[in-house]
Amino acid sequence: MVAVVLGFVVAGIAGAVAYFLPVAATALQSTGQGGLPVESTSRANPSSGDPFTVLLLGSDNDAKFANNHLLTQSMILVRVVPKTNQVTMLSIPRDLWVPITGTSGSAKIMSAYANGGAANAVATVERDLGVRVDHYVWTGLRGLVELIDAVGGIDVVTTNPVLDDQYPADLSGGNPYDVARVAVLPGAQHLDGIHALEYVRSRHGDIRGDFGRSERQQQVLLALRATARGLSFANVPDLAAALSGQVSTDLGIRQIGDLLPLIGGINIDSVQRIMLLPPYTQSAQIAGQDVLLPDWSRVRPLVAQSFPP
Amino acid sequence: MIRRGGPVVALLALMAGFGLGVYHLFGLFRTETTKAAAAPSETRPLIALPGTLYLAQQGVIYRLRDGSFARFTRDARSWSQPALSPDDHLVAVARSSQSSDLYLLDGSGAVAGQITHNAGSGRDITTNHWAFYPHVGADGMRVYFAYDAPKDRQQTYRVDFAIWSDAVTGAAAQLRQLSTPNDYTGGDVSPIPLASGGLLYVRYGVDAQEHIVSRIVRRSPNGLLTPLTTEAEDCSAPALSPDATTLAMVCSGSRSQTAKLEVATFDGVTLGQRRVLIGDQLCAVPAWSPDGRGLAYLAPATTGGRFQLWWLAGATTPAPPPRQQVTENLDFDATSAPAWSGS
Repeated sequence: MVAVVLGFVVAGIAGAVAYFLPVAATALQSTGQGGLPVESTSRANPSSGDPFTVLLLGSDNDAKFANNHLLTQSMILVRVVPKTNQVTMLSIPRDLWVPITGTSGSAKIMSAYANGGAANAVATVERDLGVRVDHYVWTGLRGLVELIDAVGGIDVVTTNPVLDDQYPADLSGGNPYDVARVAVLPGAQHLDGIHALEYVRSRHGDIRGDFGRSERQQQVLLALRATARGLSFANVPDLAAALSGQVSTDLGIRQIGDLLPLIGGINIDSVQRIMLLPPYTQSAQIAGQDVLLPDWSRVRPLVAQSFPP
Repeated sequence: MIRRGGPVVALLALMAGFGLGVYHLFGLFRTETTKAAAAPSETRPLIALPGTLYLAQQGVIYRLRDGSFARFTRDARSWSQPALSPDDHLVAVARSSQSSDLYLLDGSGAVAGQITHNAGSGRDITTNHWAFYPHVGADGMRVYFAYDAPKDRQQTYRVDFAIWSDAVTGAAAQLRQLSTPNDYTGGDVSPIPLASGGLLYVRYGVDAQEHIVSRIVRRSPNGLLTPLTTEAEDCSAPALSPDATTLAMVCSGSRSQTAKLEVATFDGVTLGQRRVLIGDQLCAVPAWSPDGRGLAYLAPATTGGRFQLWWLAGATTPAPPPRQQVTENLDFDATSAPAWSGS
């Protein structure tokens, strides 16, 4: 009799394991990636209930770049206060001209990742902006597309017509230097992954350049959060399968599990969104590159105020 | 042997079935996210609406008449943004990967003529153009639309819509530019020709906080521009009532992820008092009923959901009745306003 009961228990566990297998596979592949420069014990644990910061990194992981030399086109530092569900998002312009950790000189901050991966990007942000980064999540272009498709698309109020005659056509598998025309029309609409990517990635036709793109990226992240709120634990395997190979983070699977209810509790209207527009930065040309020079006397106090230790 | 082995095999099969059941049990708790939307012609609307509505979904224009949907466009082009013409024809947009064109469609949905010719030539994709948001003038002779021309050959990053008009026949000599957009903002969209000879349209610009916002503006017959809404209101998607006395629009408020359906009286020059009709949905592309009493609009029924058709009766009354959902499980193109004919 005991053997029979045990047999059913084992069969049930096997069924559950099979269902959540994609989660385990992605967790093994993508989570718990180490390499942050400071001992993990000094970094806030999302499970503890204390405020913590996460650096979101987005890369063009297409054929133009070797996998270990990717640039981060998007860098968003997020601070979450679990007790009050308060969230602050700071978009760090990819063209910000800063000293890069691990090198002897300055460069655009997007190159920090190419010079030592996420750990170096985190170290550069920590040193230059004077802020503690507790964790990071990196994703590539396909990761964003597949995540949005896995949640069934997102609803976004696109701010304006986003028109681009030089949009990189690098996801189709052809010549990675090909370009395409993009027209994302304005207004409330339901976007799938590819069109959401066009909306957040295009920058040529925006008078605000990378700032406009950063604003759209924050908007899509919030829309993604709003949609994810309607999902259940049983959707996690689908999401894990979509993100397989497209994401990496130092967060462990248990910490991610602890984050999910937090994400659900965030009130989008209360999210503080920060951009380093002038006078915090100013455009300049260095060595033939269009860059943004930070006014550290303004940037660091702003960051210190918005991201207290 | 068989007698003793039979129950064991049956028990093992039961265990395997139980394991399979547990697997599927978890699946029952999944929120359905990837289920394909139904084709409108395979569904029935939840309520009947008067007249004939034309709506776009996934590149096909459907006709809603007498309580049922039917496929209107039948060819392989990707269709959207139908606009009524006084002669019972439609002007609609056919979009390809690099360009879009305006076409005249007859009452059966077949192409009766091509108005614009925006496909470029050669390998230089910047020779392509977009045409969107057609609106046919009251005389049926001219069509007003947003067109990304002229192109700046030196600054190929600058691509903005301007408002243009053309003869519905598409005679090139009759093409006229009616607006000059703010550079690198996306430009001007959604033209509505006025009986006075003026024009309403949506103009994008940058506010003092460096956000791109939209304003509904009126262009007088002699070309003077008057903003009808403020930058802070961030209004777009204008729809003028059939008697031209009330303007419906969608207002987001700068940077907010909201899209409220509002109406305001319109005396032909300025907007009067405005009212928020729907403030708790992501509203898109309102369209007036032919009698001017109610509004159809698109909005998702759930957070993150696809856009459905909704109906608000008594839109011009002080206290309209509650909105009614017209469709479910569809996936209407929320950048494509419904066209609504009385016949």
